[in-house]
Amino acid sequence: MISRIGRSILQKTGSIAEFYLFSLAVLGRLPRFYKIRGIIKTVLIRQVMFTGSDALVLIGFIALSISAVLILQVHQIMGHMGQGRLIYQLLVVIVIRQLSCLLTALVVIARSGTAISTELGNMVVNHEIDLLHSFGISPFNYLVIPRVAGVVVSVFTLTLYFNVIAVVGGAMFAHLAYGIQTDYFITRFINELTFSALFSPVIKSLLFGLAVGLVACYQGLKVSHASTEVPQHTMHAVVSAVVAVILLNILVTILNVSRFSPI
Amino acid sequence: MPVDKEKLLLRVNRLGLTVEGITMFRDVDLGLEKQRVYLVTGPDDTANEWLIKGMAGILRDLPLQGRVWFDGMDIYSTDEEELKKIKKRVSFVFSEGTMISNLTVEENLLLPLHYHEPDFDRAAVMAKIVKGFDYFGIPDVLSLRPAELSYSVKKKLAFVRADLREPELILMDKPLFNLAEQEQERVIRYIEQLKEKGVTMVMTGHLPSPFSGLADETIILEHGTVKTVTMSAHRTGSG
Repeated sequence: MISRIGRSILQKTGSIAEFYLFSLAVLGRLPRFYKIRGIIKTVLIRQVMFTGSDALVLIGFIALSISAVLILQVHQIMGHMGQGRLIYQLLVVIVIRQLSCLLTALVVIARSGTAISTELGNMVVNHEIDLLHSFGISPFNYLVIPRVAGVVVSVFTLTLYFNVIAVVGGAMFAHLAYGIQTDYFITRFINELTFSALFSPVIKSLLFGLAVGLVACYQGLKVSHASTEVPQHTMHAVVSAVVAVILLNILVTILNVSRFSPI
Repeated sequence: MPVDKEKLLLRVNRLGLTVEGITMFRDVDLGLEKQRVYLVTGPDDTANEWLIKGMAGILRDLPLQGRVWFDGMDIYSTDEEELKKIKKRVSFVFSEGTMISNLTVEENLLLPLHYHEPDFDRAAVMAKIVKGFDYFGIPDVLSLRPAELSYSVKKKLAFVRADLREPELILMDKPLFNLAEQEQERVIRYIEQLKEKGVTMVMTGHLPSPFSGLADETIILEHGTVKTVTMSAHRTGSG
């Protein structure tokens, strides 16, 4: 049993080291992405369209729902105590700083993380990676880099979109439900914004996008021969990406809280 | 067989591959001359396939041992620019006619050109594609995706793609696999035409093979080692 545990630990350590090296290789090439050939730009655009553009309705729906529910709950609890202003503070702390990035990342994991991992895994099984090698095309440059870049761009943009919908949608809901004037709502909200509240979702969305893109590509390419490995590695991709996103969220939140005074 | 170094196009030095404890081949030393046709044969199809993939510079993610030089350039230890030059002169035909599944047929055929030569003459290339389609009797499938095609169409498309950049060396894994008898005849004639043009070819197959008469040399891979390199005697049987 001890040797089994030892082997398992060694395997996990090896996998972590392998993923670390894979990530370094991707990060090393990302800054040179502006030199990409036209065909790789096409892959990037397709990735952004699938990950970003096709998710707008879902993200918008989630943003509006979360904002409306938050306003409902806070007003119910705090409204009669004359603490309705807490709506704006909680909108910033809970929605802008936390939920927008997390929920966006989770949607992207569910939609694009699984799709990327499955697609790359099937490419390995169907010898399409060998085909790229036969053309002298680096699978790294053609498959991985544009997908990671596309996911990063998409998560960043979708998070921004989430925040806009949450605030504007929340303002409209507050007006409909409680008669709060929209311009008053927006002004009060802006008054509660801090540099940290603006900075935090930017950093988080970029990091989350990187994590999701890297994990999905890594797990997809780890498939060796059997098609039965594809769903297994896709499942690993989802679990690993969720854990990575949550850990990064905790890390950035702690750093933010320790550097900036709370709102 | 002694090799004329002046005419040497591909040199393989102590090439070996072990996958999950199984030795596919070891210590393979070969020298392939320009404008000659080679038939790689042996009881193990998988080993034959791995060997020509190794020779084509495809096995980059496997623990391949040894070296492969194409016209003096090390295929596995070269930078992207040199590799681009090598790959322009070397093509590979996969036995299943492998294509990128999320691209259309047109995108598949043009992918190496888009990647390596983005300013290529599209009209000239499309004319070659149409000529290839006519020769092999391929219908207008340019806008379709690989999942919508039959195996034989994909295989024939692989031949069209392989010759698009007019390479000096074409390696083919089981060139007649997945083709009906009439289609096989057309491929055999096509390969004869390539030979007349002076293209060096390496193909896998079983003996007796319809390529035995066409091949200048037969390389027999048995139990992981190259046993015999012989001049072909006659043409019979299937590939």
